Amino acid sequence: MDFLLQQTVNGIVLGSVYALYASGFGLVMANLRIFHVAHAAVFTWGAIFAWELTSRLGWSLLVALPVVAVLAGLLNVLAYFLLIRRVLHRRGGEMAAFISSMGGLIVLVELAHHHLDGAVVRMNADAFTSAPLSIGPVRITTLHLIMVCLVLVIVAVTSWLLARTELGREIRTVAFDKDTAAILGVNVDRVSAGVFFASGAMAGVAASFVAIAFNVIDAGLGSTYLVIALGAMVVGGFGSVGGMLVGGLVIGIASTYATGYLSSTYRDLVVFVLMLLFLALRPEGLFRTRAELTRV
Amino acid sequence: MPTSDPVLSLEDVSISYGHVSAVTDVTLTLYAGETLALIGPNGAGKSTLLRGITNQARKGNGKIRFGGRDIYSTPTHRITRAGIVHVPEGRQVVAPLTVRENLQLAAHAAGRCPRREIEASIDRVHGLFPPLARLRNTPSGLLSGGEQQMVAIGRALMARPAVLLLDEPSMGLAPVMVEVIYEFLGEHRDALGGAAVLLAEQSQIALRVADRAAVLSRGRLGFVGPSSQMDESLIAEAYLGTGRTAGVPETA
Amino acid sequence: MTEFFSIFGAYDFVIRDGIVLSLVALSLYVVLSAGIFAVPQVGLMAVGAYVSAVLSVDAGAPFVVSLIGGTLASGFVALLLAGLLHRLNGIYLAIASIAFAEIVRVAVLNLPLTGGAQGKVGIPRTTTDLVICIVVVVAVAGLIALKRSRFGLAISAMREDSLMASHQGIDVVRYRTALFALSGILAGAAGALHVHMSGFVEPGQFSFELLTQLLAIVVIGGTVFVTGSLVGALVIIGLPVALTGLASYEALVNGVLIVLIVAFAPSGILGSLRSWWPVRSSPSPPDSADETSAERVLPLVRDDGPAGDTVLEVRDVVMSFGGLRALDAVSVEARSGEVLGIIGPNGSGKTTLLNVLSGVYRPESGTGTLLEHDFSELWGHPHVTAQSGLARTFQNIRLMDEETVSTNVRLGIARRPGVDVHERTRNLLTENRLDWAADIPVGSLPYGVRRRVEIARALAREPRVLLLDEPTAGMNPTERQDVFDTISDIRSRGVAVIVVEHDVAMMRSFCDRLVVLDFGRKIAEGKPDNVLDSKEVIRAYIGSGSLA
Repeated sequence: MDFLLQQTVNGIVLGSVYALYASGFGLVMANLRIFHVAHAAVFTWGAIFAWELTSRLGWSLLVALPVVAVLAGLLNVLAYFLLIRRVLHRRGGEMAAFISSMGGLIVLVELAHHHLDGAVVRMNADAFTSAPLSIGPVRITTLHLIMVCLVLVIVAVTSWLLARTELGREIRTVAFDKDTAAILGVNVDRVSAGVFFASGAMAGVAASFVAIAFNVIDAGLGSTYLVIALGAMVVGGFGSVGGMLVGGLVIGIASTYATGYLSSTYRDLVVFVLMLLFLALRPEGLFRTRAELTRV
Repeated sequence: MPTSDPVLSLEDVSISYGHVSAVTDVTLTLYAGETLALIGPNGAGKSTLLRGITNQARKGNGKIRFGGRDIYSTPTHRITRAGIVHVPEGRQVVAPLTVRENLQLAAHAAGRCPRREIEASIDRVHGLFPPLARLRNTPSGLLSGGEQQMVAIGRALMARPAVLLLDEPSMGLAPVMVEVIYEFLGEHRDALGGAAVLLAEQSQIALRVADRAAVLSRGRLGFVGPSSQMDESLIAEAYLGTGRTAGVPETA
Repeated sequence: MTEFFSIFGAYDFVIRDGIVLSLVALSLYVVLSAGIFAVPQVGLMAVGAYVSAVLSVDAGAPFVVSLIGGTLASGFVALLLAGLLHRLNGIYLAIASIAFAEIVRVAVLNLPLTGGAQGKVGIPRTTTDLVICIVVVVAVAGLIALKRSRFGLAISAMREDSLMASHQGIDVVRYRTALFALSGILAGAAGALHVHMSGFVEPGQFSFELLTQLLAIVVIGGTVFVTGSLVGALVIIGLPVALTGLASYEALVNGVLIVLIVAFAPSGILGSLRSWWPVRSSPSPPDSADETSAERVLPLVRDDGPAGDTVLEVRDVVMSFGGLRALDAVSVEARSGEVLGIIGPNGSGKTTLLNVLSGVYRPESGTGTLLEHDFSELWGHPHVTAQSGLARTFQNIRLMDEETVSTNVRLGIARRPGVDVHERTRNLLTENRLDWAADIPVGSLPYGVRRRVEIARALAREPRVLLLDEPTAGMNPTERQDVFDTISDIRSRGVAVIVVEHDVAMMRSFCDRLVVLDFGRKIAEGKPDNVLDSKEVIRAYIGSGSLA
């Protein structure tokens, strides 16, 4: 029983990071109907930014985090302007945007590869001193606790932003119908860029956590977690940030159980089979969203 | 109250979809404060013309001036912010947003209503269309056609238009609802300030509230003149008969 | 002598790899060129490779058996995948297929049979250069032949406009399944060939990176020509060779190429070359005055003789969209040799009714028959309706703009034994006064001619029932007259014609019967003069001055 509890908590920690990464993808997907694979490269670069700031410049993690978020956000906005904007309005624009984004992914990953000289780097351990905690039978570290809390805060803030602010209304309107948004006076281009910024910032934060918690950064980081993030989106559904949180947690817990009860080699298999099942049987995810967002 | 101040002028505007010529050489002037009814059968090009004004349709040659400025290639959202507000065919309320959110969005996005006056404006919309007060927190996608039309017009009011383009507001509505809309356009006209209204309709009901009227048939403008001069036979000819294509010069 | 690539010296490995890679790229090409966004090919290649390896190493099978076994296994898995994912499209399909590829990779990584992370070694290297070349040549030739056949035409139609394609009798689901299987066979063959070329197989070969390479090949080569994949592979393989100093930058260049090509040359290298080819100037249509002779009097077209049998009928059709009743207990029947007009104000449900009649929509309630078929079997399956003797045109003309007039018309011909497609196409073009335009891409023709092409395509089916959705929208009077003349011709052949139109004046003088819809209900039906003189109809159209 204790083992189950420990695994569940581990799963929640892991899952919350997956959820954050997935939310970035899902935000763009829900708003612009495109699969922006290059997001995975923004994730990778987020980790690199975190590494540069903490290991080379000696900043502490908590100070670096917002800067990493902004840098990653800006990188994603750049990706929007260079890769997506131009091709989206064409017929078959979704496929074109996907392929263009794929090209961008390749370029960014290669640049990361060169920047790191093909090496695998590690975060400076001083960036964050993590103390072990015990809550009942469960062992956890302060880092993990902060990760989960921060993710919950980000998800809550994003939901609040979408539901209660003017910007959120504009984003929801653009997602509903671009023409209607324009006719109301909304600058669709600017809103889309904003969505890309937010999505990139999320990726940056998630990547920083992954970097420090799993202590390995290489050029393929984003791609490694890409399919898992997809799993979170598919299980949770694209339409709501809360849904993706649940999706991330489900995937996180499932993969942790798989590692704990079977072996780590089955971890990915479990995730992928789960994903395939959902896609075949319930493609809209656990949280059914508006019909427009689940065009299957 | 109609004036003789031109606020929006179209000169030789032509719009096509690919090879199809939807609107041909339309020249029309809209004066501040007036209500101009644009009547025409389906497929005549009314919606296309309105969409051309807000730059949502690709235009051929021609000029469009608003308050003296050339707005021919201005992006749609800037045209709205400049004061030309378009209520499209089918209303297009933002379904997932509540009634209140739709109104708030319209006010903020168009940027013509000062922040501190937004609540008061919302109250005024509720006053003009009482059912909306009750529905303020209902997602607008769940409303009936008539209620959605009220939201759409309420939205337009929040944007404080100088020119209001109304595309077939009565389409698909039950007679009772149409009555409500036209009561607004008639008796409560002053709620729109000095705005000019270009009202596109299929049916001659628009004549009830219009100062001037124009007939659009197969993309070309026919009769343009005081609505009192428009009679049923003119319209019936355009719809069910062979319709005049030669334009009568605009009369003031 | 079989290792003739050795003449390239140290590059022979690279070339062999490249050719096998182009085979996998072709497997990606066959689905992408149909507009199907599925990318499981890396996984399918892995299936082919591993099955072949296992057959060879563990079962001692000879080369041919191992090759065929791998190929068929992969094809079979592809069929299963098609069934599993048949409801998915677009992004979801892409995600699902990537997930499948990863599942395969993780499976072979873990199963003892497949040797885990080490994979399998010791596979007899029996693939010769000759075999590789033969396979690729056969594959390319086969695909080109397929592309030129009706199958290929159907695929293009599916990619361009799957709704229109279903109305040409194309069962989109079945074609999709077939393409998945084909993709599996090509990828599997490539996998099997490769393991017998290199002598080993391991999971790391089937990574996400391989998929990006494949995509680069297809994007660079373009999907217009089958040989595009070969060109693409040449570029991808050739680049690192050409840039030997910058070898480590090859992936970077791939990525940049992809972005640039998608942005500026979406049809790839070959496609762009084709569009720069000097275009033959199109002859202009013969002067319309020659065709519609001046003596032809306006609508002498109403035939007051008795109409024939009822060929289509629907009763009490109800159709709602999100709470709104688009059709409210509408009943309609069409008789052979008769033109039935459907008119009504905007939003009255005319197009919805046509969509029910052609099988696109399944109504909530209602019954009907089309010739001998019960509509309940046809609703939701427009391709079956099309195969049962019904043809239609669409409000926004749906043609394949890049293809010639004769190709577009040919699409409508139902494939039956004993039908000479070429001759029939020629006859149709002549009958519809389109022979001058036979080889001109439809997209560059005037609107009136395009509509004629669409009607010719509909007639190619030899339909008993023809539905026309606003055929004269946007036309000038001469073009309009032309269309109505064509319709009267069709009527005289005994076809039942249903026309939806706005030009009520013309409908009055032209249709044998009229049905008037308003708010989804049928408010009048009968001879045009009677119907159009009724007060209720007039009011529905032009409204009343007051709301009495």
